[in-house]
Amino acid sequence: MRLGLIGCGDVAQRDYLPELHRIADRVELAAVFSRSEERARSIAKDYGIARWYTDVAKLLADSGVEAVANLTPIPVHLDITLAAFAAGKHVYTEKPLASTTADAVRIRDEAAKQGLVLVCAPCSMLFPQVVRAKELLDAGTIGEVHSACGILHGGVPPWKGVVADQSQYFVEGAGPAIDLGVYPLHALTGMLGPVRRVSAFTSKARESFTLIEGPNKGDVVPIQVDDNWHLLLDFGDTRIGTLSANNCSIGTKAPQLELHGLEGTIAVNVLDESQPIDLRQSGKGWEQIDVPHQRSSGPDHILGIEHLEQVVREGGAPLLSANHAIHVIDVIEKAARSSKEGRVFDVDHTTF
Amino acid sequence: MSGPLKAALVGCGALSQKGVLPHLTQTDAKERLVLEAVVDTHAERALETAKKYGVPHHFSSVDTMLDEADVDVVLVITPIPFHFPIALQAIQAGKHVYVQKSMTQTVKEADVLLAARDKAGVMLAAAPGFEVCSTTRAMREVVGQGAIGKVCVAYTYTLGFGHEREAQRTGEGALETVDPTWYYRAGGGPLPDVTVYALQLLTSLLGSVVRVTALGNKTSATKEWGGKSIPVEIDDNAVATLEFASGALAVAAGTNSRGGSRNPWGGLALYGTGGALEVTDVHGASGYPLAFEVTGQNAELFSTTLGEQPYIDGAHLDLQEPHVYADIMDLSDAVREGRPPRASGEQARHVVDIIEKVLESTRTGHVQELTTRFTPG
Repeated sequence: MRLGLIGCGDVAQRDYLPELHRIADRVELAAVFSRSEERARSIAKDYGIARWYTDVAKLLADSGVEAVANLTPIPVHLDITLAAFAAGKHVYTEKPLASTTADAVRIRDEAAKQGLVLVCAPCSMLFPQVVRAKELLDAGTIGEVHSACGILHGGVPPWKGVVADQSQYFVEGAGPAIDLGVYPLHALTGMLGPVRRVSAFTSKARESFTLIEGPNKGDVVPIQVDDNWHLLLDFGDTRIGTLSANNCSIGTKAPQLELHGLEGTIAVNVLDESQPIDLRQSGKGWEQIDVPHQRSSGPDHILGIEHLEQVVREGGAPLLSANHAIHVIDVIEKAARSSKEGRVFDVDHTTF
Repeated sequence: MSGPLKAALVGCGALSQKGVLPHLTQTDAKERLVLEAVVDTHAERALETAKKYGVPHHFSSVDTMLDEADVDVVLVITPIPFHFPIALQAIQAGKHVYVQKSMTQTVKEADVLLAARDKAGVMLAAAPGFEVCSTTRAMREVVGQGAIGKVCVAYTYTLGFGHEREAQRTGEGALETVDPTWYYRAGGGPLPDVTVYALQLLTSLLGSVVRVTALGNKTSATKEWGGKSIPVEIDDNAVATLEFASGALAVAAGTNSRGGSRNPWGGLALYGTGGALEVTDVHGASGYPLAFEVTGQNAELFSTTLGEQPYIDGAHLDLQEPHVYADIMDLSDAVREGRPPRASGEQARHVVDIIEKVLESTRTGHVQELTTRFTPG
């Protein structure tokens, strides 16, 4: 599969470009786009990519590209994914699929109409430690599960060493829930099934922050969205859980995902596949389960590109489906409304 | 007042058997407080308890005990729904009172109790009273000094175990067949039974909660005990989000999943814009947080031992529920010294307010505003 990479920011340079060589036998990086000519040119050179563009339309018009990876900032995901479908390309999109449920549904329907494959990050359900945790859960290792929690602390901006425009994470449609909370939320819903009802408190802990390095050093970046989210999740069938995501606190010793069963507990680090699973069973202490993984550490987003290639080649419905992404976006959208209106909301999109 | 206080213990159930009577019959405890009477509506259980622990009098009614026994203090260690009427009756009879958690089921009851306390001029100590523990004060200092910046986030996960499997409920004879049914009825469940500890700690560090939202359900329709089926009438699985007056948001879970959390049981983690404070060790028998780690700009490790805590040494170190014992001893010293007990009724009332509003939110699906306020320290 000949792939075009759209967006060469931090995520592309840290998580995708250096790792794509692992699937080079199946996925050829044919073209790359960056708004910056200098960056596009140097990345093409560093990774031996044949063509580089500073105009998305030109990459999408490239007949040598069969599929694209949309790694752009959150606010432009929608337009670029729709443009890719219009150009007849299959799409792997970084999360979120779109900032609103309505836009996400539009994208899903457009893919179906065009008969194109749409694979949606995050790849939580393909991460090997999450796959293993689900196997342990399904095998009854911890008994019936009635309670679960997800926690993602995104650190306090300004972040050091981030080349991207940090303001994009704090504009309307972005924020820690849809940017980070989606990792544990995809894993929780992938393991326990859809959230039926949600209630939430969100707050804005800080109004702005000041950049401490880079060309815009000294600039004050406004925080336009809530940076502190706490969701209560009702999965139905006697299962409830919590999901917290924020950009107002530093790291935590708490596991990113924990499942509490009547006969034990499973704790998983969703974003770092090098970390072992912590398992506790009734009458025993904690034990660690190492899970084989391909990337040395961190999240393995390449699994999503690999998944796209497989679905394009073999057909069938992707596991990283638009419907799962739409469900998670709907949960977050309803959480925002719950926080504003002070009541529990039913989640509408629950089929995936 | 000189010499030990004379006390009556009401409720000879599982907690009293495993965690209160063994402490109070130690020599050092008797220097502060001696048990004059035990009361249980189960007459045989009251008698057996008096015999086993050498208590001079036993009663099957609180009325009779208050009429006939010469006591200064009443220890209310009954199932939660009986806390309020018995504590009120004892206060109105002019007794000092220690009441187990949760103090009452409603704020209304708590208000009545505190007003009666003030009118009678007696002292009221209300569990869980983590104020006695030095870690609580050390953590409050860290937060108060701004060592972790503005506190925005807190988590606590209290995973309960139910009560039907306890030794005092699964043996033979009056002292080992204590019925756990009440725990699955109104007034019971993990929120007032175990989450109450976490809420006590949270409010000790962050002050008043102003709003809550919550979800809850029943993990099963029935529980098994002694070959009988107990109907589960209350939610035994709940999650709540609390908004503090300071703006901090906290997540608290109270569920009967037995596995436990990777986070220490009943532990607590606070996160601020400048760092984190995470409890790293919780003592199993007392629930006292014994160690915490501060990360960020003002990194610090704090640890203490159970033996460094007030009143807990010698035999008390190896007995269950030493925190209950410490609170009772603190009340006896408070009476002697004429100072308020550390386990304050005002804090207990605020925690009751949180629990009452969490339950209301699970029922209605609407955010609930608290009516009480509490200032720690």
